[in-house]
Amino acid sequence: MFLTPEILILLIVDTMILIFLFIAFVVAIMVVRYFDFGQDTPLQYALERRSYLASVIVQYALWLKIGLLFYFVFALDKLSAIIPGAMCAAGVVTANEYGVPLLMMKVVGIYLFGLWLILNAHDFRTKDFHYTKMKFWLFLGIFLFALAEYGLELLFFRDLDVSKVVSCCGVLFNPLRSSAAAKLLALDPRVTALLFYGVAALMLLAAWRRWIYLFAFLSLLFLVVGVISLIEYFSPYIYELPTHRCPFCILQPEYGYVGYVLYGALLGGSFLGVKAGFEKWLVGIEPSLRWALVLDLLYVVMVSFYPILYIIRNGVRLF
Amino acid sequence: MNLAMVDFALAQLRRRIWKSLALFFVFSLLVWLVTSIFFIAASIKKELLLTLEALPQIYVQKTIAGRLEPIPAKRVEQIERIAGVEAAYPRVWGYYYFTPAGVNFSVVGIDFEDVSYKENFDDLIANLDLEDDEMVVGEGVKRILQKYYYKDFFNFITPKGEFVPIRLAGVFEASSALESSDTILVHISKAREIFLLPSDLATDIVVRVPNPKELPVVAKKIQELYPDVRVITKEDIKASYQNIFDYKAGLFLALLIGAFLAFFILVFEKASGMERSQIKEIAILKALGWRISDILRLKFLEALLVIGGSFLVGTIGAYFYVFVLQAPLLLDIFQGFSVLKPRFELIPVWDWGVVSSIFFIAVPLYLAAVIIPSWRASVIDPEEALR
Amino acid sequence: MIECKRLTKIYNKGTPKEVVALRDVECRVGDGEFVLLMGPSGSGKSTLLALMAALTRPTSGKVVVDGEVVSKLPEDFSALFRHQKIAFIFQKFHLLDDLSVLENVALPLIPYVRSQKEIEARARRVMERFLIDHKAHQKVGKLSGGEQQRVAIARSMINDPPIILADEPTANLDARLSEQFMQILRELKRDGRTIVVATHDPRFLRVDGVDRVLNVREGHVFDA
Repeated sequence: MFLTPEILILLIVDTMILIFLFIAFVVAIMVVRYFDFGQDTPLQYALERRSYLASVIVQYALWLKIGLLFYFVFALDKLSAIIPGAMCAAGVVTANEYGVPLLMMKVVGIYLFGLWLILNAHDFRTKDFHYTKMKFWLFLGIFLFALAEYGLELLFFRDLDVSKVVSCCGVLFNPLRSSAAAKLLALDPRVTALLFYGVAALMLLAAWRRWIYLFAFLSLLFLVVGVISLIEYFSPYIYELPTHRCPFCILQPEYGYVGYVLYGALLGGSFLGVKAGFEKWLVGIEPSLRWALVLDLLYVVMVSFYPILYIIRNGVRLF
Repeated sequence: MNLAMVDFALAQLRRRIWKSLALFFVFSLLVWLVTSIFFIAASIKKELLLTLEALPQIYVQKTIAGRLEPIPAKRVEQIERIAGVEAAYPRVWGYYYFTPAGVNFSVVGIDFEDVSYKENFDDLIANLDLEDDEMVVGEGVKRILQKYYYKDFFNFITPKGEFVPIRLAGVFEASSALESSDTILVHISKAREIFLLPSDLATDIVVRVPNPKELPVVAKKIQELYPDVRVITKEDIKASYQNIFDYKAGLFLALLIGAFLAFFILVFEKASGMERSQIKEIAILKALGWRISDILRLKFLEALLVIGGSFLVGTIGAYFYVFVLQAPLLLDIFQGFSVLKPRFELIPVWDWGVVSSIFFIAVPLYLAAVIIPSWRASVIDPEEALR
Repeated sequence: MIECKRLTKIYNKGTPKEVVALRDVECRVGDGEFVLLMGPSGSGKSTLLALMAALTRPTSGKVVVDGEVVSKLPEDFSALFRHQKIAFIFQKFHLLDDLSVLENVALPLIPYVRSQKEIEARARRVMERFLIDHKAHQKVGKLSGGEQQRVAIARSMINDPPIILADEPTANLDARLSEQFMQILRELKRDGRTIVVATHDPRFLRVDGVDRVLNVREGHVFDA
C-alpha cells in the first residue's frame, strides 16, 4: 500500500459512495420484500418515499463515479512518475493483475448506474410505480457489482509496489513483444482503423433507418473498436511517433489533456447509444439519437483530425 | 432548473444568513488549508524538477559496506568510453559544518578553467574571472557569513585543524533558490584541501547521457563495469523527490481527515436540525405544488452555492497566500527549519491536478452531508407540518 | 368533479394518540359548484379539504378528481395535481414573511416555468387582478391582514386552477375584509370555478352563489 494524496482521496470518496450505496441497498431489500402498490399502510408510503432517497443516492454516486473515473486515471498517471519503468498510467494499470479489470469495472459501473437512473426516471413517470420493484431488484445486483469494484480497488492499491519495475507503454503496446496486451492487439493498424470507420458508418446507417437495437449494439462495439483503433492507429499520429502506441499518454499535459475530451466523447456517445436501445426495450418509446450521434461524430472528427493533419504536414503516412 | 430557482435558493441562504456564513467560513478555511499545502508541495516539486533538469543524468558513487567512499578519479576515462556517454566528470564536494551558526554549507569544487558538469556554474565562472583562492557563495551563505563578520574572506578548517583562507569574490544570481542558497563554489584544489581528498580520488562521478532512451543501458553498463558503485539516474532522484513531497502532502491530508470528518458532522447537524419554521416552509412549497424532486433540487442548489463559493474563495485565497505572501508559517513544515533556506521563492504553479484533488475532497463530502437531510426535508408531509 | 368515497382518515393510527378525523365520508362536489363545509373546529373539515387537495393520504377510501384517483398518486404526481388544479387558501395564509409580495406570489411557478420573465409577468397579472400590485416589492410580513390574504389568494391563483379550496379563510379577518373576500369568491365562482370553503363563519351562509352546504360533525358529513 502506498498512499499518495490522490490514492487517499480516491479511497475516501469511494468509501463514502459505498456507504451511501449501502443505505440504498437496505432500501432496495425493503422494497423488494414489502413494496405493494395496492396497500395503504404507513410502511408502503414510507417505502415510496425511500424510493426517492435511493434515486438521489444513485445520482450522487453516478456523477461522482464519472468524475472519479477520470481522476483515477489521473492519479495513476501521476503515480507513473514514482513507479520505476512506468511512463504513463499504462504501466501503473498493469503493475498488478487487478488494474485492468478494475478499470473495466469502473467503466461498466458507470454504464450500470446510468441505465439504472434511466429506469428510475421512467419509474417516476408512471402513476403506479410500474418499475419500482424491477429497479430495486436490479439495484441489488448493481450494489454487489459496486462492492466488488471497491474490493478490487483496495486490492489494486494494496499490491501497488513502488519499488517494483513495471513496463512502460512502449513495451505493453508493442506488437513485436509478446506481452498479453500486445498479442490481443496484434492487428494491422490499418485494419483497426478500417473497422473503426466501418462501425461508425454502420451506426450512421442504423441511425438513419432507425434500427435502434442495432444502433445500441453498435454503440458498444464502437467503444471497443474505438479504443483498439485509438491504440493501434490513431495514437501514433497524436504522438507523431510510429512506435508510440498508448491509450494513456494522451491524458498527459504534453498533449493538452486531449485524452480527457476524446474519452469523454467516446464514452458519452456510446453510453447514449446503449441508453437508446435500453429505453426502447423498456418503455417502447422511440428514443432520440441526436446527442449520441453528436458525441460519436465529435469523436470521429477529433480522432481523424490527427492523421489528416500529420499527412498534410509531412506528406507521408505512418502506416 | 431555472434562474428563478437559483434566486430563490440564494434568498433561502440569505434568510439564514448566520448559519450560511458560518458554514461558508469554516469550509473556505478548510479548503484554503488543504489547497495551500498542495500548492506548496506542487511548487517545491516544480522547483526541484527545474533544478534537476540542469543536472547530469547519472551519478556514480562508490560504496563500501553501504557507506559512501571517495571514488578513484581515473574511472572517468573508462566510463567515457561507454557508447552513449557524452562526458563524465569527477566531482569534489561535501558538506562543511559551520559550528558557530550550526549549519551545513555545500562546498563544491570546480575547475575554473575547464567546463564543469553544470551549465550555470560555467556561466558564473565566465562572468567573474576567478582566482584559485576565491569563492562564490549562495545568498543564504552570504547572509550567515556576514552575521559572523566574515566580510570578504572565510577561513575553512580542515579535518587536521589547519586554516584554508578563501576570499569571497561574488554571490550567486539564484536561478533556483533551493540548490544555490547553501552552496559555496571553490576551486577544485581548494576543495581537496578543505576535505583532505587526495588528487587521485573524487567524491563521485557524474555522467552526461544526451539521449534519455540510452540512460538505462548506460547505467547498467557502469554497474557491470564497477560492481562496487551505486549508480543513480536522474529519474531515480525525481521519483524520490516526488515520493517525499507526495508523502508529506498525503500525511497532512491524513491528519486533516479528522478535520473533514468534524466538518461533515457539522454540515450534517446543521442540515438535519431543521427548525420548525423551515419545516413549515417546505410544507408550504409542497402544498403549492412543488414536487419532491423540486425540493431536492432547491436543497442541493443551496448546498452547491455554499460549496462553490467557499471552493472558489478557498482556492483563490490559497493561491494568494502561497504565491503572493509566500506561505508564511506553513512553508517551514515543508522545508524543515534550516536557517539557510527561508529566502526561498515559491514559483507560482496552477496545477489542475491539485485543483481536481481539492474538488474531490471537498465537494463529495459536503454533498454527502446534505443528501439525507435534504431528502428528509423533501418528503415532509405538508398536511402534517401545516396542521 | 370531486368525489369522496368511503373516506376515512385516522391520525396516529395504532398509538394512544389515535384520532379519527373522518369516517366513511361520502361526498361530491360538481364542476362550478360553490360548496360550504360547515362545522365546529375539530370536526374534520380541514382534513377533508386536505384530502381533496391530495395534501395527505386517506387511511382508507379514495378521493377522485375529474376521474382520477388522486389519493393514491405517487407524491410527485399529487404535487403536479395540486399545481395544475388546486388553489389552496390557508387560514393562516402561510406566506413566507421575509420575502416580498412578488416573490411569494411567484413561488408556485418556480419549478415549472423556465423563463423568469414569464414568471414575473404572470405574477404581475395576478397581483393586479387581486389589487396587490402596488405593494409588489414590500415584505409580506409588514402587510396588514387583509393585504396578506390578497397575497395568499394571488399566489394560489397564479396558475389559474379550476378548483379553489379555502380553509377558514375569514377567521383572521374583520367584518369588512371578510366581506371583501366573499366578494372575491363570488367573482371566481362567476368564472366557472369550483369552490369549497371550510368554515364555521355563519356569514358565508348569506353569500349569494353558495350552491350547497355540507355539515361536518365528528368525522361525518351530512347534507344540510
